[in-house]
Amino acid sequence: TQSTWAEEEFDRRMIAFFKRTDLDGWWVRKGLQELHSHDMIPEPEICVEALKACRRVNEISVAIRFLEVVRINANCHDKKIWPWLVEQIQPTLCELGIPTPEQIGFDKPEFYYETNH
Amino acid sequence: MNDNPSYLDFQDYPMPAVRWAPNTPEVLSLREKEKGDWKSLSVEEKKQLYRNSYCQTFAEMDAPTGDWKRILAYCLYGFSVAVSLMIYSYLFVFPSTPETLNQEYTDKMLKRVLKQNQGPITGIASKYDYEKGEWK
Repeated sequence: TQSTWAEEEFDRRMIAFFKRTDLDGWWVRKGLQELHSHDMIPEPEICVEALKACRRVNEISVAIRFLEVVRINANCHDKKIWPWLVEQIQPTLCELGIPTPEQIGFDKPEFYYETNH
Repeated sequence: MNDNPSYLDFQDYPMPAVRWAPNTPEVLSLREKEKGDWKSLSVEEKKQLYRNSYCQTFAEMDAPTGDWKRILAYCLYGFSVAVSLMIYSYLFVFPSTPETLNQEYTDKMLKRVLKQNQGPITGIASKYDYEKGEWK
């Protein structure tokens, strides 16, 4: 089960999942949700594969959302992790044309909504 | 989540089941453009694509709403109503304290207590030295 996998095994499985070519939008989101439910900061390799999977299904909003989530997770632990992670995946970000949340202005609130939960 | 495809901005579930914006022609045409190279999209278009799929960014979700001010106002309002009622009651409704509570009367009561030797072992009279006529 997932809780007994070693770290490398987990990374390998995640990368293998995102490398699949038959993923559609729902499966990409499911995979990212699973990644998020582990409450972890993914390795740069996993991030790169996830972003490429988003590219394959033509969903830039999912990619930006994923980066936002990773940023928040990283900032909870240590302020230095997020810049390092961005540096590691910068080649993929440049190649695919995905902005980080800071570049696009999503690290500060932009609009105010009357939320009625 | 929970059977029905619904939209929810939630920290634990970052990608909801449905998109936020309805499928108007502008939204669909932008999505067509999304299928091409993402580097050709401007920053405004990328932001618009995001807003088409999601209502609030994470920063907006977590931002403080200032709701506590409204709640504090209600609490203080209730508190002030209670306090004003009490002030009114003290001034106009309650009778004044009886005369048995002024200093002269209570002094005399104390003397009577000591004469009667009430509480001789552990009470008030045990603290009074009867031979010398003063408090221990």
